[in-house]
Amino acid sequence: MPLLDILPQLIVNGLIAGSIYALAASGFSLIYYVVKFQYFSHGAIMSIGAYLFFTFMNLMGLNYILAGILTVIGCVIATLLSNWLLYLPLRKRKATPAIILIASIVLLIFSSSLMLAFFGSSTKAISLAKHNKTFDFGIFTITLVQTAIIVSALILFLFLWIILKKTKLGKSMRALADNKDVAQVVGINPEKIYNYTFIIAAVLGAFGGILLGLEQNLYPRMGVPIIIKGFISSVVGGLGSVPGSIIGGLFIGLAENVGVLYLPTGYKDVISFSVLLLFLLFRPQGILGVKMRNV
Amino acid sequence: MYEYLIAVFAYIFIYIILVVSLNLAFGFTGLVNLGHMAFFGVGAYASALLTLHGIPWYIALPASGLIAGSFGAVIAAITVRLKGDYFQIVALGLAFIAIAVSRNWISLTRGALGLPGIPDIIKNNFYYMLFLFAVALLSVVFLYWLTNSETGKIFQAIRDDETAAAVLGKNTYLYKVLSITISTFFAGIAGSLFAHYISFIDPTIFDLEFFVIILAMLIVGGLASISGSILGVTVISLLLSAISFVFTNISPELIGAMRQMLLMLILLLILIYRPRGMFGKVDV
Amino acid sequence: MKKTILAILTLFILIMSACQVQQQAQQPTGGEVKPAQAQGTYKIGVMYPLTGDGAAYGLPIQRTTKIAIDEINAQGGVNGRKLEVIYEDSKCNPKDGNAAAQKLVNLDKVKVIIGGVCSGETLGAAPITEAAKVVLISPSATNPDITNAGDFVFRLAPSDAFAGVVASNYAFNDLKAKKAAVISETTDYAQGLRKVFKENFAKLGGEIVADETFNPEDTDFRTQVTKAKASNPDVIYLVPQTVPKGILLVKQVKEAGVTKQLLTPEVLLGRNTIAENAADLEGLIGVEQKFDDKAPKAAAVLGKYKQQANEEAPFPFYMSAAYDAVYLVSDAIAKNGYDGEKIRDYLYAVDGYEGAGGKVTIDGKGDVVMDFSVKQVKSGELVILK
Repeated sequence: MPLLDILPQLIVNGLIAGSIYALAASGFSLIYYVVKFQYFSHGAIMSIGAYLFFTFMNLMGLNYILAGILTVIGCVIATLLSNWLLYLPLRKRKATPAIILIASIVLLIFSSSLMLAFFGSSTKAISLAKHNKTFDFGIFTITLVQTAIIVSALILFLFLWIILKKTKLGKSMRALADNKDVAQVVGINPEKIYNYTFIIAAVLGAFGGILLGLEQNLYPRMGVPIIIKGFISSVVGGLGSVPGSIIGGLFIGLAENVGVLYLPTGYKDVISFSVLLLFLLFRPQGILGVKMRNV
Repeated sequence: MYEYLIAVFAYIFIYIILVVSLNLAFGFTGLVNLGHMAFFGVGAYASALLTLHGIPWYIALPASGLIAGSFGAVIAAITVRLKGDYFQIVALGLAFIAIAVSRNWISLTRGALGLPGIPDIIKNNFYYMLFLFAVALLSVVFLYWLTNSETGKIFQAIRDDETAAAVLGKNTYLYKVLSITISTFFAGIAGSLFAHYISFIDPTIFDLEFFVIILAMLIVGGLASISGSILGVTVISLLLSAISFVFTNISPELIGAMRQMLLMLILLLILIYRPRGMFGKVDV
Repeated sequence: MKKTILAILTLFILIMSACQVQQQAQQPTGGEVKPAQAQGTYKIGVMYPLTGDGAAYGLPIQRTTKIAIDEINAQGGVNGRKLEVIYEDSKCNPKDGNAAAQKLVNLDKVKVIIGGVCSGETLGAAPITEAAKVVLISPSATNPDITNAGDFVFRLAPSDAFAGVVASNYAFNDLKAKKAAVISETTDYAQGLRKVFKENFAKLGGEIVADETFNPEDTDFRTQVTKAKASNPDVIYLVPQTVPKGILLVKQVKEAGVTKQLLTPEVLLGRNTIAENAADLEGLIGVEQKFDDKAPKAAAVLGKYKQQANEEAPFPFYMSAAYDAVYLVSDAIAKNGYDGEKIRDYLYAVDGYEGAGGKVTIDGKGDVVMDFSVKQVKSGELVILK
């Protein structure tokens, strides 16, 4: 069987992985764009989302809509707590972005131990995943969950775009991102907008976590690898550009899966990091360059 | 008891070399090198591979510093032109690349199987600890001298205002490359000493957690302060040892998680209350 | 600032010199310094990965270890003394394994350590325990390098060197396979098997046509499977590290329409695993230690685990081996006393001990001697092929 026959399947695999990366990258990128630091604890919020959904579905037996709503609420609370208890004090003390980055990684590790203490070390599967079905299109196969991942990612990105482009909140966020001092002069309260930004990121994180949990399984450190991919995606897409981070996520997903056509598959990670390195060296502004960076 | 203290101090001396050298790039020159651990790992692997192929340690030790330093020089030559956050991101990306390579370049690193049987430099732990102390002392003295020299002043001028330093006719690009090269050279030395101490290394040397702890040592001590770094290493190392004395009577499956949560909580509190550390002089 | 540095460094030297003086003062008296037994307990060190990715193996194994300890203590302990366990988190890496052993050996003064679970932490701890003449007994480390890690290092899990040879011999001689594909996880256990399988298969005259790997954090192996399938092998050797990974891998292999014979190590041969995933695992050929999780002793331990943890035992063999390790150690202490060298001597003499993990015999290098059997899954049951 020639290698090219497997290309359609690899592209589909890449799109599935890419949608999940894009969900992680969009939250990371949104915070970087507005609040100006590298938000690694977004991975923690995604794992909390997955575990909350697991708790509501498997342990409490709620239906999936109610479980989803409660998960979003839980993630919003967790995110706001992290802002108020950690990031706000750090901003007040004028900590540099490097320090805030380190704090967010520490929080990520903290949350993985928290999940370990509450849920134990074994991998868990969300019960909804049992109703999964496989569709065979001949040249490639895709499952119901995977279709749902791609579709819900698209819907979320549409909402995100509407908020950023079409609402007053989005306008304030952009103003704040462009120049904090000027924004304050025209009467924008940065902390208030930051709170809203964290809430939007929390919603993205909650859905990202649920979908990640459905596609893969749940384990305490699940937030770490996904946010590293989210980080790479948002850099490749254009740091601080939310649409760029989504494109970056899909790009990395495709590059990893199609790239191993001729390379040993263990090098998937090496591929994504090499893409990162190449971009940083030759196009540090990412795929969506300066022109689109005000979004 | 004394054997345990020897081990604690051996680690402290290795980490002092690692953290003080990181401070040279991060604190003194303003280059937020979040990939410092990658060079520590390169040094460890280089020294392990060299000695396992029969090269004596007194050649392997400086060689591993030179190998890590050359890597640092090449990478710095390409990346220090990047502005602000971008350098930081390449450096962080580098740390992630290192783990992928060490896991997958099996013909060289044996992948996840790791490299066992790395020979001791000095068999007796006490004398090895003294040797580590000597190397750490030499490194600290050299870096102290460097940061107070003319070159060190230029490093700090670049950190404070690169444009001004360039206007004064200094080739800031070369100085930045030099700073990273020296810094990564010492990271390689620290890696080599570490590999010979525990005699077995595998890709977990690049773990995120280890890396966060090393960064915490630097931050707790404070940027651009050598005595701060030494104190930061000591405080965090003692904290790491102390943490295994708490939670001994709780349900066994919770011991690990509780200890790690406590450690991370302490680090967060330190970051919140002293984001500039104990002796921090500058913000980077 | 110079003063601060000098002051700190001088302090270090002073402390270290004091230690050295103490060390020399103790040496002439020679002999064994009586370990602290004030409360009339025997201290047992246990170092497992309790956090991080390795906790997935560490915590279940820790629970069967505790089951054995509790049983022994409930029956009055050893020689009238209770076993006191000190747990350390070795995090599946050599650095923390080394630090854990330092603390257990030099501070807690234990004479025997059960652990580590991963090979990396075991190899990091071995130099410390070896120098202090403390027994280190691992229930689950399979890296072939551990065989030569030291005189005081034991393990109750067979080295990958054996299982990989059995699998490749069976593939070449019995399945008449000339071309093999390997899909393995980049963990020490899986890489050990992969290495031995590849080397031996090539030595026999076979050809490795695809050699794909995936990382522990991956859950999507479709690309690896697609590539292995495209290389048109006679047999595919699947080497996952854990049961959930393995099930996922086999599922994705079957979803991709692969009809070639699949071969795996013992990970997927747990009786409960097979019963629950009968359809997915149908036809799979596996190589495992002569271990039966339905045998009375194993069933009792694993049943207790299920009762406590509310889940099926994820690693039946290793969890049983940890249970056996506690009993072997307590028997050694009961018979020979609480002393590293004497416990070591006892362990080298273990021959045909009936444990939960099967018949345990330890060879001259501290490795467990185990027979392997080749089995095939047929309608939810294991059928012995060889």
